Amino acid sequence: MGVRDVQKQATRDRVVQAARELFDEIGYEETTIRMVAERAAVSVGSVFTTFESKVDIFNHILFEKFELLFAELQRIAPYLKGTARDRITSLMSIAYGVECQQLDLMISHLAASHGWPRRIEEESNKRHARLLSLFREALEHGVAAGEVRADVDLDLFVDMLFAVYLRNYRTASYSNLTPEQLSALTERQLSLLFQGMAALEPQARTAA
Amino acid sequence: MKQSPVRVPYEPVEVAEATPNRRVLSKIRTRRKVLDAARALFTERGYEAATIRDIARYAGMSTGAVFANFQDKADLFEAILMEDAEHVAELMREAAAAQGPVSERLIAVFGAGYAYYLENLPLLQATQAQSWLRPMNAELRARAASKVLLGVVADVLREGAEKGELRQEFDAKLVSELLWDTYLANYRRAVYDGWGTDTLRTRMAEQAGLVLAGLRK
Repeated sequence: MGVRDVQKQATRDRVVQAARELFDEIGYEETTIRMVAERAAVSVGSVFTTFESKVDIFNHILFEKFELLFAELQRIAPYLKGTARDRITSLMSIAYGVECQQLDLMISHLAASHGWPRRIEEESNKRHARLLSLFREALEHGVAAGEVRADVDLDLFVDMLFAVYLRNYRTASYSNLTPEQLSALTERQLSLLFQGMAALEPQARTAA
Repeated sequence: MKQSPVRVPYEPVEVAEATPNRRVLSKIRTRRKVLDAARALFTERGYEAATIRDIARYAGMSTGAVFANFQDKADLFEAILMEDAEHVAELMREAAAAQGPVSERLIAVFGAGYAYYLENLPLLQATQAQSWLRPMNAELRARAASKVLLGVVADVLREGAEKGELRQEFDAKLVSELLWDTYLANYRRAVYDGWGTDTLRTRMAEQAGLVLAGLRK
């Protein structure tokens, strides 16, 4: 790394640290780039040389958090017991336990997700692919164990699991659910989904 | 929201049918003009980028005139959102009125939503973003509106149970919320993958089909 790269990295670290503090203190929506620059003691211009926009800084921080969480889930996954449904419920419950500690950040992230540019959507999908593949592995485990049907469209199913997983953060926030209550809700939702999958008619399942 | 004081008579009294006077009519017209301008700008630029000043200019009036009708941008946005919810509820109720199996009726209901919002995607995105952030009192008002929408779905499910197509005992609220979450999540495909109404309907049919399969006898 040249001197300039070292400097650039130092600025980036300071910006991220300042933003992290401000998001914690006053929330994402209220934080401005100018405030981040001031806290980091750099110019607004140099913030923009390291990040394209506020949502980029925010996502950088969140994706790092997700990375840690998903790595932990991946570590735990082989030790999970029970059916695919049990395993996926556990994965989601652990995630809720972690993310609900900073629920406001998660809520801001999901709110921002409705307006961000395609480039960020792609990045976000890439990051979440790790979680989705854990859901999928649990289902494939179920297929191997003979308790999940081998002929269902797993992509469609994983997609629905993910929609439920994210949407529940909204319920957690507005209905003030504890992580335990959230897990109980998830259990009921997953039982509906698995029940449906088990009962799908043979001719319906191959429709793609 | 501002309300004019209403005198409640203690005894029923004969009231001549009121003809709204000019002042009231012009106030209604102004409110309509502000709403139309705001809708156009929110659709064009999104919620954050549209300012009250722009909205006033677009409507051809002063910002003061806008504030005489709405407290702030959030209040104005909520009024539009509620108008849309009412309109969509109407469309969904009409779609639900058709005869046929539960799955078909549900797809008609969700399809009506997709057809409407695909013409207004930026507004829908703004609505979805706001739905995570609005203060509790606005959330409670919005819940009243979504209760109507979810009710359309729940009614189709209940009628399916009455007709013997679905089994008798299931949690219609839980099922309709699950379907609704799925329906909303699919909009991401419209925004980022360019899915049209037909593709969304097909997807939703598969998803609803899966959930319904578990509710059959």
